[in-house]
Amino acid sequence: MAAESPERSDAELVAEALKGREECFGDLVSRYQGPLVNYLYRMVRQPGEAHDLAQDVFIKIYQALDRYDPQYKFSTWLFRIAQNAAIDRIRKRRVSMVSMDRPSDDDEGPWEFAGHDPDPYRDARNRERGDAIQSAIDALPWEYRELIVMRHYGELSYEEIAQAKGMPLGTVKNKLFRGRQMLKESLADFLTD
Amino acid sequence: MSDLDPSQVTELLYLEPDGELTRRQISQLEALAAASPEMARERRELARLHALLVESKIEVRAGFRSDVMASLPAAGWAARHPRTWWVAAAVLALLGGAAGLLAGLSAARLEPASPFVAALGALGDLLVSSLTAGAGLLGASWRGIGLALGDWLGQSVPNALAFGVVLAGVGVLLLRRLRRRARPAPAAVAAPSRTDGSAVE
Repeated sequence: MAAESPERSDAELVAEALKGREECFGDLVSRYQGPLVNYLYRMVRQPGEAHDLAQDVFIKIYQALDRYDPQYKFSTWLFRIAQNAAIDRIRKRRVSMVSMDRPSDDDEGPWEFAGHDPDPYRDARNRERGDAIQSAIDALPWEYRELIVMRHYGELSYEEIAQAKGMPLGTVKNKLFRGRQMLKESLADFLTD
Repeated sequence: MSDLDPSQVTELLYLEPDGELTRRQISQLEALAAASPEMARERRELARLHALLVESKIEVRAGFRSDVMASLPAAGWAARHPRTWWVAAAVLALLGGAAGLLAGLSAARLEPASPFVAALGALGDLLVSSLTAGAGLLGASWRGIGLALGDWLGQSVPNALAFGVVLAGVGVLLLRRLRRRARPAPAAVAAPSRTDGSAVE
């Protein structure tokens, strides 16, 4: 993911934060909070849990900030930690025997699109599409699912995904291609003319 | 029209929405889509799939950044940074300077040249008296060390001042440590598991 701030790169913000300018770490949080929360949401499927996990990931990153190697991309480091945290959370949930197919009744709410539509029909349609998208993503084999989520929700580039996963660039492209083919088949009803 | 084989065309179609194709590759796809309605439909559907995924993003809750910033703990690297020590060092230097000045005045037994110097001298005397009194009290309850300390402090002004400087410095350092610890502790985070054999940061 390209740094949004034209003035300062991620590495520069990390260097400033290490000098004691905490607000520079805040700028990194602002830069990555959207992709990170969305990535974790698609992994753990509950918005509240995704936010809590994202907060934990940022704290973990802050505590280890002096170990960041500017040779590598900050986003790669961030998402590798996020991925491990998400996997850990999913494993714990499995151990506690909570269903992995759908959120339980006491979850914070339905999966929905970012905007709340005042039109009840369109709102219902949005919810339907939201459910269909999540189901389609859940149905993907893990090796495709994590790459699709990294690309579309984590907003990582091919190169960043390759670095984070330790895969050749060609493998990343191929897995994204296969994953999208499956997604397209699952969501055909929403894509046709 | 195109030097791409069918499998390459399909792969390019699926990768096009990422915006990472070259201008030439996009032109090739556009030319092929113009000649093939089926491919044009496929291209439209893929663009829709991309848009659908983009639309399905959730909004980050308001105040998320503030929540993160408020829960940042004292990191180990922060405690090692010079900024953590500069206030304490500055106070120590200031006290050391004042001690040196007072000691110099006392040693030279100079008559105060101005009210300011006289005030400094009086403050110095007050500090010595306080320290001597304190040491006396300490000696009453902790006889051995207390008496020795009291004797040592009473011997000369520089001794008393040095003791005062050390006490003030320790006080400042303790205060700074307490301020850092007073921040809210982070939520417990389990150590991440390793998925790819790489070091977990």
